[in-house]
Amino acid sequence: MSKIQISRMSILIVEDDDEVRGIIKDYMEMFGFRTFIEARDGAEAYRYVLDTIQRIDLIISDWEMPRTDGLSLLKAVRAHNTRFSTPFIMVTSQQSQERMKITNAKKYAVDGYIIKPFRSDILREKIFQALKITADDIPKAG
Amino acid sequence: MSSTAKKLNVLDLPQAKKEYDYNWRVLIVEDEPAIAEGIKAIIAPNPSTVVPINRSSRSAAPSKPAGATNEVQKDQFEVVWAKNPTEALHHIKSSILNGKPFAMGFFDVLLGAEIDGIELVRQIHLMDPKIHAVFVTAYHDRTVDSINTILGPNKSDRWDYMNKPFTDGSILQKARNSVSLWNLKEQKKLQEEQLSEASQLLRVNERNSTVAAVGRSVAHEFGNLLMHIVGNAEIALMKGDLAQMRTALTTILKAGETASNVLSKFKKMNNVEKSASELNLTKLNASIDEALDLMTHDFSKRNIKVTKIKYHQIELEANHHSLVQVFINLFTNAAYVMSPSGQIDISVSKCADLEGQNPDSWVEIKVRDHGPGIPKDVLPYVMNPFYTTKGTKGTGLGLPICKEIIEAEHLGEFTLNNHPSKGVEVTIKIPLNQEGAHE
Repeated sequence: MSKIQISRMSILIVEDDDEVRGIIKDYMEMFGFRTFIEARDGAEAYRYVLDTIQRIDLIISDWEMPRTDGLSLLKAVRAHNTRFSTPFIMVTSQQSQERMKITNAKKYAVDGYIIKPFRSDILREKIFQALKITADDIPKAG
Repeated sequence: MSSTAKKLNVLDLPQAKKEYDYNWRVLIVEDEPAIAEGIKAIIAPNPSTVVPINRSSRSAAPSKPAGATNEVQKDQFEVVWAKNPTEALHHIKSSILNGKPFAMGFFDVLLGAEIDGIELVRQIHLMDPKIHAVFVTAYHDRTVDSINTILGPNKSDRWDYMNKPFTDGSILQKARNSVSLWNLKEQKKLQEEQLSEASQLLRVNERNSTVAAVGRSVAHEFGNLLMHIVGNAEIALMKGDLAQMRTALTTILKAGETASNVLSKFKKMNNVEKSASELNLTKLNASIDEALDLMTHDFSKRNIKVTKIKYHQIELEANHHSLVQVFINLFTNAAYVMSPSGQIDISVSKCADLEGQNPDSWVEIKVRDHGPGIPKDVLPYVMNPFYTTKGTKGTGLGLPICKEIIEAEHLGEFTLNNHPSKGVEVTIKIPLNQEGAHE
């Protein structure tokens, strides 16, 4: 996978905290991604999922959000006719309930999960794994 | 609290019953050996065997219909005979010392001693107030009223009498009745003690689950705040741009401040026990605002809007932490019933006291949700301890604890009703000054 392809990829970032959403976006820009769709909760994100013209190559979603949470979004994506195989990374901050959450998410084939707070290298590693690309395919951060 | 109680948890309660030792001990106080032997022979004919409960009298005992099944419950009377008041008092004393009290006693009235059976029972009741006395009396000995006067009206449930001549059946049945009454009272007392221990334990659990709920909210908030710090620092370092660094540092400082605010509120919640029942001059609005702050995450998750309809600034004598606990409970309940979104209305204003006197001497706080309300048939039970509509998620103690905090700790009034148009409305009234609150 070439650098050009990465910059053309469309990433859906779902996060209710504006600051955290901005940080994820900044991190990903450093990895070479250029196209982002931003949503504040699962319901808003699902509207993009339903819009079949919208390109979505990867979804990074917070778990705990108002209205529709990350797990509901994951279930909806996995049940969708064409989007079902979209790589999905779940972000969460409640470590105490981690085990239960991961078990639940795994049932719906989440491609990766990250616990807040995380550094850029962790995010990059999870994205690589989810997109099944190697470090050589992506320019170095910074 | 005993060590057994500490080990209890809510699910263990049905198994938590202590083993109850049924008390079959009977004292016979009778100066005539023949009569004493007679009574003993009726209720415990042979110490090594037990008497089937279906016996109506001794003479009816031997023949049993084939296949009779009603002998599950057996009499196991343990009989001690005292031939005079001195012996009787001695037996009572040692029974108390040995922790094996008598459940009941048959007392002859005319004992041929310095004191009669009734005076004896009066003296016995000073040592053992729980024993049930059955006076075996001839018609002319004493009237029921005179016995009542001697023993006192508060002992009227601890004695009975039977007239001579008596039948075997009446003796046996009096013994059974008295023994079972004694044991029922003891079992009830034991159950009440267990229930009180259990409810105390549940209240601790309820507190802990409130703390846990807030803890989850705090954990979420901390995850985000740490993300602000880590993310901004890393991005600023990588980009190396001075303007970007300034912005990042400002955000980081703000996140740090917010985090320490959240933490100090959470710590306060955990320290409630230490400051419990201390009433100080408190800003009521600060207590409500703190509860609202702690609920921010939950409210945003559930799309709940808070409207302060009237929000007069009130100072009163109160326990800030207890009030925060009350409001968190009310807000949690309100949020729970409204999905996928909702509204909570809060109003705070001064009012007259509960008798409608002394205007502006009390404060009235109303917390109303816009949920479905509580069905009429359920409404009478929602304030009962252990009643919950949240299944295993609730202990059913949230509202009773709120009520206790408001009414017992703050001498106020806590009421809950359906709002005429929609939802549930809780009304709290508290005196501004505790002194003279109910004069």
